[in-house]
Amino acid sequence: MANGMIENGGIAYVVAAYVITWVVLGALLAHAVGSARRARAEYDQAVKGGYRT
Amino acid sequence: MSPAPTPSFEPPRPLHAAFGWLVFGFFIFTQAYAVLTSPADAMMGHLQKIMYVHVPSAWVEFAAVGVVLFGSLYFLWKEDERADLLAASSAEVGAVFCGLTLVQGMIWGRPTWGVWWTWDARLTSTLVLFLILVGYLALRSFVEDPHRRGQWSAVVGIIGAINVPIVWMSVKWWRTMHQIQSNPRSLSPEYLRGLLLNLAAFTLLTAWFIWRRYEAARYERAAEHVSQAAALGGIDG
Repeated sequence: MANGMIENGGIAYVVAAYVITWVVLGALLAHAVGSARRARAEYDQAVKGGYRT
Repeated sequence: MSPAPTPSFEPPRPLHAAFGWLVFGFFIFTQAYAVLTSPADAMMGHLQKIMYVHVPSAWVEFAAVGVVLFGSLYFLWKEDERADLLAASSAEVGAVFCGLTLVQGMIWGRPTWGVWWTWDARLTSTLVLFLILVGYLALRSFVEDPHRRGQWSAVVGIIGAINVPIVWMSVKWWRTMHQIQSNPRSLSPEYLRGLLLNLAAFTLLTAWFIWRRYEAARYERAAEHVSQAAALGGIDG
């Protein structure tokens, strides 16, 4: 690499690193948003569905 | 049967939706800015651009473990369930970023070192941190009792946090292939701006992820409390 051995400046490696990062962060985003909404709905359902004293 | 006491639950403060959009907008901007404005490095070529995802991922992984440490210690001290849930949420996000750091490092290592992986002190200590975080999450799924789960996972979280300074100092304590940390004086401004912007964006993104996971965990536990209370006689039909 230091002697100019990386073909095209290593663009393929750069693309791979960024694509993997964005895919993983996108999955984490979907998981975070989805789980928060599901948990909120479950809680509302649990309260509505039966806890009355 | 007398009714069970109403479980007290103070919902976590919801994040404003605009905050999430702003954070993601900022993240996209910083990624584009760093990639498009930084010139190819004389030695590494474009490979240098991996720094804008690799270094911020490593930084937020450490920050997330810092939150795990805080939550674990607070839980052991005060036995406050919220601290345990915050630590768990942070461990989950930290594990993702730790895994990302390893993969990005391997992608960088292949063209620069000629190998995808080597048992270098920095790589190995980071792998150990990743395994501790995965173990932390696995432990939580095995233990049913919330209090015991909190105590045991707090101990594992603290052990994980002890590993962070080892990861950080590994490049100085041992002879490693991994380069020593860059600092603002060793980076030229055209690289530094993109790096600092991405450090800020990844930090905000991680805070957002942790808070959303924390919200979910709080509501899940509250729903469990409600169900348990209902099963103990809190329902009047």
